[in-house]
Amino acid sequence: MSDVDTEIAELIAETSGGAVGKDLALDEQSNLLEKGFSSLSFLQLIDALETRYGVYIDLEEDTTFLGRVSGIVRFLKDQNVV
Amino acid sequence: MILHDALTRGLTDHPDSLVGNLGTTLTYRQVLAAAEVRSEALLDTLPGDTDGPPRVAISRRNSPAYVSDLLAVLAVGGVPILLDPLLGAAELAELFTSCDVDAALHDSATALSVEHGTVTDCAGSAVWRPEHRGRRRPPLHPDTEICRLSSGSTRSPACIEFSGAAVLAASRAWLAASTLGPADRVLCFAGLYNGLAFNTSLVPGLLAGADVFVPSGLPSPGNVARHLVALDPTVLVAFPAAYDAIAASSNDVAAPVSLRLALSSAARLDPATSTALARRSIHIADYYGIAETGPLTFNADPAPGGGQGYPLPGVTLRTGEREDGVGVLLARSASMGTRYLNYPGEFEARVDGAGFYRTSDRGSLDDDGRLRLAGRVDNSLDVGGRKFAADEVVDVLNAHSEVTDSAVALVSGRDRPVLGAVVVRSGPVDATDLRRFCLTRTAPYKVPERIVFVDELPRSGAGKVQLGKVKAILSAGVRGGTKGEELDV
Repeated sequence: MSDVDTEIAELIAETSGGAVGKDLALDEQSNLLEKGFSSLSFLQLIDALETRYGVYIDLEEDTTFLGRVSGIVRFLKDQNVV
Repeated sequence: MILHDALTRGLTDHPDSLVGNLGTTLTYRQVLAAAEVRSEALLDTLPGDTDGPPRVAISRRNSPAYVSDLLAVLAVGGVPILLDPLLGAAELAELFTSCDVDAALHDSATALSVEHGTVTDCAGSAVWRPEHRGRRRPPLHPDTEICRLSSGSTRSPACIEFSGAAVLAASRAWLAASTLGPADRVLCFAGLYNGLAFNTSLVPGLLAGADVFVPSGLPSPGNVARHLVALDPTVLVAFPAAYDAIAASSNDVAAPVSLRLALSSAARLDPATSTALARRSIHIADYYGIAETGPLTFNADPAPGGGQGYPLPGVTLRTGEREDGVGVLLARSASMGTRYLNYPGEFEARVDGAGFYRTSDRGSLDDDGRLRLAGRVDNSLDVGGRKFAADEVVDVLNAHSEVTDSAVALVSGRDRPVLGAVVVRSGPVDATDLRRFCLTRTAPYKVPERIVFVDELPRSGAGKVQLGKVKAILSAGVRGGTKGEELDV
């Protein structure tokens, strides 16, 4: 597990309002919705990712990559910000 | 079909006005052309022997194609039934059966994997048709031209029938109050199936010849900011959750130069949010409307914490009592629905002899005639502006083979309400499994964030679930319940 994985898991825990802890966020067996992450939490997570990493997440396109830490990290690597 | 005629006239009279989003934009002229292609394909797709007008569900994300689909269904003499595209397969199946839907247009063939139907192509859009026609076909009222859903008043979403006259009355009242015109650019983040979008942006926007921009993505602060910069809208429409997110964000979303009106509805706006956005020159008009009656109030000059505005032209509001003596708002409008297609008699039972619809909202009119909402009197839930009945979630949870009983409630979370469920299970299902099951059957916003397993639900001597104790279990966030149970979140 990389430092970026941990950082993203911490962001998820922060924006979930207590529903998803850091360890649960790192579990790749299920996606964030299955873990109890709500659409309102996604609003906050997207905002946190865009603000912290200076990226633009196109919400008109497929956003299923936001459902797992690995998908978010892959997106950030593709954007050359981590 | 006065609705089709009015909408077509609005588009024909303003051929160069726009409908779109940042990715795709069509002129009204192009929308009309797309509607003609779709309507020809629909005529080939729809059964020719429907009892009455064909009932065509539209379950699509916001896009220009949504508008051309709507026009196409109306053009073939059909009755569009506008659905939330996030509804799950089980919810769609129940609606398709209870309303005896003849076809459904959707963005995705896989999302239409409803049993007992086939999915084919209809001029580039997936269309579902039932394999067998319904045995019981609830009759449409002769004046019905369109249907939209209401959630929270009945155990599952109710399909409200609207006459064309009612839809146009809502639009005319809104146009008069908001002075929407062809020079306006409306940016609407609400789904077009929803009253907030339908009654403030879609129908009045097209009638007025305004540019109507309808993003389909989540209204994150960054997404809203990008649209504001790119489109410089005069009118912004969004649910309270979007404004809450903007207010809480470090992203410095500011009002575009031309913005003259920001609209919110579906739930009372937090005064802290409206105050924070007013500092950014975004003054939010938090209006009151319900699915059954259409928009009811408006305030062109809103102030944070100033209530929900004044009754629209043709609207009368007063306070009254339910049969049990609980005080509620009563509303009468020319934009009221006619009845529920799939819940016969239930709509009519809420309308008194003078034509007032009995809402489930508490509120009062101040000395100036402004409405101030004060909460709900039923157990309907509101998550970010999306209303639904707690029983809808209970039914989904209880459909799991290892769930024997459950209760659902909204409780206070760290910075917003949290949807929670207290569940009695008979097998080793865990919270993740249970949410995964729910996600295959219902919209994601109805899936509980917090799930607590207990040995039995707290019930009164009469057997009624004690909601206060359910909320206490959920709020505790620790092992709780009636017999020292497991927390599993």
